Amino acid sequence: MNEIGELCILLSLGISIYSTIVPILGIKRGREEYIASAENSIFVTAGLITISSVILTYAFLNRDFSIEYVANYSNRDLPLFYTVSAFWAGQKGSLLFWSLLLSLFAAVVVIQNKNKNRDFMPYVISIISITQCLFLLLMTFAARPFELIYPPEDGSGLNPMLQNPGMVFHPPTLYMGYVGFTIPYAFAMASLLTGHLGDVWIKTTRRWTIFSWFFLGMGNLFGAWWAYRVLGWGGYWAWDPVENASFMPWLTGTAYLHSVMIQERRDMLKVWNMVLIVLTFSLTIFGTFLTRSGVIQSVHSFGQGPVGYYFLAFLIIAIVFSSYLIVSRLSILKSNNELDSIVSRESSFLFNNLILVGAAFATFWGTMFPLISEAIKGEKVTVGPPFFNQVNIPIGLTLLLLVGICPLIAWKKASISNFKRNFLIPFIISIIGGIALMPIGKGHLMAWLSFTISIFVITTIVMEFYKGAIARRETTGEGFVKALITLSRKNKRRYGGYIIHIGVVLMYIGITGTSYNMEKEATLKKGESMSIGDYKVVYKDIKNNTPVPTKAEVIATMDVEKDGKIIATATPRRDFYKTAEQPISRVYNLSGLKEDLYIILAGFQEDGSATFKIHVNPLVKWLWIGGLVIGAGTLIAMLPDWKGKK
Amino acid sequence: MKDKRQEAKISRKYKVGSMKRKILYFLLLTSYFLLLTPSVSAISIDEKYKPLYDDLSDKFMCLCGCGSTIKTCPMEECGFAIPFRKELYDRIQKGETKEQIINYFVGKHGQKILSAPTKKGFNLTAWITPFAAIIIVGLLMKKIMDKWTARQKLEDRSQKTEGVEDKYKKMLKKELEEFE
Repeated sequence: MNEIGELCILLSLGISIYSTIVPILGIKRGREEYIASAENSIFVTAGLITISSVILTYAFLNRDFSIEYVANYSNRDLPLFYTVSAFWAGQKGSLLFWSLLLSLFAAVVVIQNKNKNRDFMPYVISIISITQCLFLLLMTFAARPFELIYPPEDGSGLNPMLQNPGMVFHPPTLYMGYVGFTIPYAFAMASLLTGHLGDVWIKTTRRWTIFSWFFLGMGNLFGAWWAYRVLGWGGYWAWDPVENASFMPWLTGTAYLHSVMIQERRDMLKVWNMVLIVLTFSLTIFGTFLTRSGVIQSVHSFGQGPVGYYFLAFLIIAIVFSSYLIVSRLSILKSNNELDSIVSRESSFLFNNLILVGAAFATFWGTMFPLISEAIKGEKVTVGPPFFNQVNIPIGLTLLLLVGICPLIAWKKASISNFKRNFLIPFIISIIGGIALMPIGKGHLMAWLSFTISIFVITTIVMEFYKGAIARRETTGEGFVKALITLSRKNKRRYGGYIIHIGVVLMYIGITGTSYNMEKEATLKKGESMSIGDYKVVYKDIKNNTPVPTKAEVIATMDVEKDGKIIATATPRRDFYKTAEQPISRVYNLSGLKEDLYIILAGFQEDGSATFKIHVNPLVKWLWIGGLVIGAGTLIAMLPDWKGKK
Repeated sequence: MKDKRQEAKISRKYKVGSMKRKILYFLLLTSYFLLLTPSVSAISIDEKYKPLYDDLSDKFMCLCGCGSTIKTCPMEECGFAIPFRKELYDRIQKGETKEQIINYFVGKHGQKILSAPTKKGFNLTAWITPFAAIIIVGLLMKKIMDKWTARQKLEDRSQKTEGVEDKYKKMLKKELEEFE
């Protein structure tokens, strides 16, 4: 079977080279059948890579340890759920998974554009195919997923830290985001190559952009959720270089998502939009380079090896090629319209772009500074979380303020009455809220600012919905709720966007809660207790359990008391895996809207005493709720307009 | 020859053996963990030292490769963070100042022990550059936008003037026609 898998990859490589070259030849020679052939080859590639992926999955399920990758990332005791997810747990499988997604996305693009964008399609196919070639080349020469070994009796197993639902969903969602941005990039390049620089390519890829942006964001959020539940340090984001690598394209992707609206509406910022999509695509490749090159130390690294340098070479080629195209088309990329006023929706979006790209640059700069310092001064410095927090908090708060301001400023030119109408009430409410929140702002200025601006933003959005629904009710006579629903249904993009903004504010609230985190660590004997915040935690007992032959659990039992009443029985535990050097903490988390009580069993002694680290993390749940709201908003923004199609 | 060597290597790596041996091995391993696992050195931090301890433990980076600070290192039995925390707390208890403690650890491990670059010399560029970049680009943007809006105003004005001229031309034409 593995031979078939490997053969499929090899054939896909040949076909992808074919579909890179043939469409260009088709244009040069005016042969439509060449382009049709290239489109068909996209389907063949998708089929072949799917066969490879199915074979690898089957090998995992069948415990075929003659395949090195299967032996390294699974064993006989691995539950089915994690056996399937082991597919993308390592370097080789994740490359195959990436390639699979790209081939499927490419097939969808071909289907979607069967009868439209015919001038773009040859270039789109060529660009997607050359990207595909990179992955197939890697899987053929540098990281072969079907490499054989002498089969061991059992595999090494999956890293216990990856045996968590968060880790099952985190890589696929992240990859969907990474891979998805190839599509708008390919269309952007096609528009440059054809010279058709209107907004057709933007409109064609609008859903792809939202889709990729959403999954990239969700990938990051799933990663954060996993870190919070598994790593056991009480936080969810450590500004690790690889976390930063997936955060940067999300930021530039967000900027792109906003600035394309100006091109669609006012036919402006064509060059800037090109730059943004090139930057976003390049950053997805840069992120992959960081993860797979070992250039920067990171807990997420797939280790050192030649793979990273393939990505670096591809990245350089992509940047040079895209930059050349943009520069050569500068004269026809000129905007047809110009700004009417500095106080307008267009300019506010530009400032939003400045801040988003500024945040991406700050993150990039911090990530690369150790290398820069070493190159210039010969001294390695560390740039850790305190740096990123200090630099990104003011930038983030400015951005939050713009979330409230941008959507409500009038296009072209805003008047004083426009300002008064949209901002006076939110301003007054946020001032009142800010004053009310002053007691919690003592010593936490940034947190206070964040909450106050959040009130402002939420009020502006709620007012937008309210005013829209009232106006609709007056003209149509519908009830308020119906008017609200119809309003959102009629203008999905706008109101979906507002819902996404609400989700973003909720996430800010969740993140701001970190300022009030409490933490305590103590060694307790049975019957002893410790208090933190409003909670008293009484240590009752400790037991060991062996649920499967390869894993032993040590479970502590604790009563959690609040206001003198037992509200929960906490069971933090430590798992000892045969395959892992270090035990893994399984955190007990009593999660509420106000705060999380987060208990870690940090150690235990022979006399039955145990060491606990307890955190009270306020408002964390709002971060995850914010993610769900963003999901809902994205879904609304992406829904097709059925009525319009009829 | 190569295959045999590889086979031996894999046998060693995966400890090929009977199921009984595996169970026995695991039981031994489990009892080893249960009996011998040392407690993660809980340091009971005195409340009066806690703010300084929290502040300092976040200023130093754990060098075990976890990418976290000493305060947040998630490794259960980290060979770096645990002794570091103890030493840090000892120094705080001895009454050493924040600067003394920072200088001591930097002297011992180098600049890389600090979780953020210092705000001195070349390292200052790490802090300034992002904000400087945003401000410079922002000012440039403002200048470009001013230019755009000025041009737009001019165009508007000329369109208005053209409009007025058209009006008079029409009037003139009409009067001439009537006159004729």
